[in-house]
Amino acid sequence: MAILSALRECGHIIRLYDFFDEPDHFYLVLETMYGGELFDRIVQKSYYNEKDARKTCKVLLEAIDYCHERRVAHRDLKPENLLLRSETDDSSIKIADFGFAKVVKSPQSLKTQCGTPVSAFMRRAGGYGDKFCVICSLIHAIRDNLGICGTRNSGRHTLR
Amino acid sequence: MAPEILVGTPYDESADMWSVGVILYILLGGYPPFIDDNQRKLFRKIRKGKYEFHEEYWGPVSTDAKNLITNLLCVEAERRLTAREALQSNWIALASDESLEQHDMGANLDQLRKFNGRRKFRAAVASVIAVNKLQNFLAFDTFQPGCHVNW
Repeated sequence: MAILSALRECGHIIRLYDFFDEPDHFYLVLETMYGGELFDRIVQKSYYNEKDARKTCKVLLEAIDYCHERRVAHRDLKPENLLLRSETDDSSIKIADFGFAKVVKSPQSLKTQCGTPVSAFMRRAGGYGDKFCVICSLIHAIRDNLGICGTRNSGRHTLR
Repeated sequence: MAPEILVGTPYDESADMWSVGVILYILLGGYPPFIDDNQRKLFRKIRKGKYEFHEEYWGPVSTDAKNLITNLLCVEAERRLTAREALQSNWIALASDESLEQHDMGANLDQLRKFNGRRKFRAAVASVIAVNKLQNFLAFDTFQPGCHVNW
C-alpha cells in the first residue's frame, strides 16, 4: 500500500485511490484499466513494426526508471501486469500488481525468491508452495473473472 | 525470473531489468527467449543466459534492438543495463522512426498471437485449479472445525 501510494505521481503506474482494512475484508480502490492487457491489444493489430515495439518499450522503461529512482523493485514484471488505461490509446500503458514490490535499502539486499514462474517458488517453498499457488491463482482469478465491481463512470473499481 | 533469483543469491532492482529484457524479446520475436518442456533444463538455460536470436524471426529485427536485449539479458546483474541506461541506448534514443518502420514483423506477430493464446489458456487452467483447491480447503475446514491450516 505504502509503495503504491509513493508511486502515485507516475502516469504509467496503476493508481491506488484508497484502501479500507475491515475485520473481515480488505478493500483496494484501484484505477480501472478499460483497455485490458497490452499483449491482447498488440495481437489484434494487423500490422506491427519496430516503431510500435519501441514506443511500448520506452513507456515501460520510463515507468521502471521512475520506480527504481525511488528504490522500488517491482519483482514480478510480466505481460499479465502490463495493462492499458484506454480502449483506444495504445500508449496508455500502466504497470500493475505491486504485490511483490519492495523498497531496496541497499544494493543486493533482497533475498526472497519471488516472481514468475510461480512453480519455481512452489518447489523451493516445500509444503507452503501449494498454498502460495492457490493464493496467487485466486488473485488472478478474482481480478480476471469474479469480484471486480464498480461503475465505469467513476473511473475506479473495488476489489472485494 | 532473473538468474540471481533462481540461484538464490541476494539481488536488487536490476532483477527487474532482466524481466524487461524478456518482455522486449517477446515483443519483438513473438516468443520467449527461454523455452523448455523440462523445468530443470529451463532453469539451467536461464541461469546460463542461454538464448538465441533465431534468424527466421530475428532476421528483420534491427541490430540496435538486439544489442539492447543482449545488454538486458545479461546474467551478471552488475553488467546489466539500468532503466536509465536502456533509455539512452541507440534503439530507444537514436534510431529514427522512419528506419524502424521498415522493420516489418508480420511473421513475429503471428508467433506473438500463438504465445498469447497459450498464455491465456494456462491462466484459465490455473484459475480452475485454484477454485477447485479452494473448495477442497473450505470443505476440509468445514468438516474438521478443530483443524488449523498453517499458512
